[in-house]
Amino acid sequence: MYEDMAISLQKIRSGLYIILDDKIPFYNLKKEFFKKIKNMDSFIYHTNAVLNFGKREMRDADLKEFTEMIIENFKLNIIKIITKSPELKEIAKKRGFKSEDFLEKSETEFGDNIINEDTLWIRKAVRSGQLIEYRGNIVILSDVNVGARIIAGGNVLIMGTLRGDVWAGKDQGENSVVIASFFEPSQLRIFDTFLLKSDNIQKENDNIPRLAYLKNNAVFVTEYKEWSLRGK
Amino acid sequence: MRSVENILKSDVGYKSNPDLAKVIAVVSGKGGVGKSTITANLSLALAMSGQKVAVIDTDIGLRNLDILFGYSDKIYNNIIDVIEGTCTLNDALIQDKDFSNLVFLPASQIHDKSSLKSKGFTRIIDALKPEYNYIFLDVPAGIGQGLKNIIPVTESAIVVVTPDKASVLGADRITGILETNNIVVSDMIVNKFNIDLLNKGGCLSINEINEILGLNLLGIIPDDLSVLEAMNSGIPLVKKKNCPAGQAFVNISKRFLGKNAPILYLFRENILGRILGKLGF
Repeated sequence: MYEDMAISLQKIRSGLYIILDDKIPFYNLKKEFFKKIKNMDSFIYHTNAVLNFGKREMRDADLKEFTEMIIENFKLNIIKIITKSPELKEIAKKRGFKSEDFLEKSETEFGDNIINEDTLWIRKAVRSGQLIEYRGNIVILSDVNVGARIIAGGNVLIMGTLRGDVWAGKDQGENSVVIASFFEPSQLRIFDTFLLKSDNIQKENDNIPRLAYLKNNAVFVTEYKEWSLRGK
Repeated sequence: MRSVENILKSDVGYKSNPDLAKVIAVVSGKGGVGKSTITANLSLALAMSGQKVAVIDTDIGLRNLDILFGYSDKIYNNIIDVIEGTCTLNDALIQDKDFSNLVFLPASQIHDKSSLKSKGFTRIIDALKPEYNYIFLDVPAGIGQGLKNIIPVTESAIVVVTPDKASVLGADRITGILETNNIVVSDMIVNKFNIDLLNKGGCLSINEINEILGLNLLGIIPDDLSVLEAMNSGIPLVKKKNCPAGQAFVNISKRFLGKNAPILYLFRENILGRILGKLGF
């Protein structure tokens, strides 16, 4: 029962985050890992993976065996190893893996805030002059046109084109995000901060979904590649 | 965005109840985009194909649909007279001299928009409904009292835009208002479309308009000098021959009734005309 939970998988920005329990014996860990990943083998081929060994102490040979097993069987691309043990860190360095104490905060911060509950779904296009205000998240399955206004207490997700005004995290949502398939807002605000737009920057018409978030009292916009149905 | 198959057909002319007329408003956010021209010519083109059509001018105080039809000297009673009870509905209706299945109810010039009482207006529409196939309302521009008057009686609306940003954004605003009032806004007509100007990058393309509005394209009317001429002479475009804008209205009326017809009718001059044009005649 306990060993079933020895391995947990999470989706993070750079790929797959694999947390390996540091209390069960190494042999059982290998067995459990095989069991868990085997069901989804071709789904995760060539995915970037971050391994978290926790406080586990490992020999060089063990690490070599484990990583080779992962690479050969599941074609995972190990980009980082998270460990609290200084010796394992040294070994990982020798083997050519990056290693760190903690997972970077930026890896998880977008995914974690998007809470499923309390969401308003809107199916029709929000047209000019219409105001949509809701205390939770707002999901719009169509466009938001110029002159329309969306005010949400939480996150805003727009499946179509965003051309109107958006205010996410109205009351205390410093962690709120705005995601849109086609990102051309006329005005964007998260919590108390506006997105500053420079006139000099050319319009990007590359059709990549974009995500706006608040950090250090400024709103930043990044390409939202996790949602890469359209690809690049 | 809709697929090509959907673009070819329109459901704005489809009637769920075949015994009663469908009430269709012709709207736009911005003024001067050609609502009255389109109302007059589309209703005439439908009348030419045998439909029984009633046209009501709801632009009280600033009527101009009668000029386009050429009825200016035939108006003795108007819609406000009917509402106030000084005449009957049949007294006020004007029948077209060429197509007897088209009637026109003129607006009053001396009253204002608030005189169009919703109770009386609904009564007029209800009286017309069993006798006609389609009732067209020519709606004043903007989102004021004029629009509020027609909301209780309208079932669906056709949005008129010209290929410029002010008109498209205005149309978006008015579409939003009508949709909140449960009026089906499914189709748009692009007026004053100039292909030379588009090639120079001077106006919005059909795709750009469609991206903003997301409506079904019922038709495109080319920018044509004969439109102005027709208005001043009082002979509607569809009654003229060899007129590209007139042909565009005939195509729109076909698509309105669910038949296939090309969206844009581009008129090509004959060889003699082109040579004479080059020589400067």
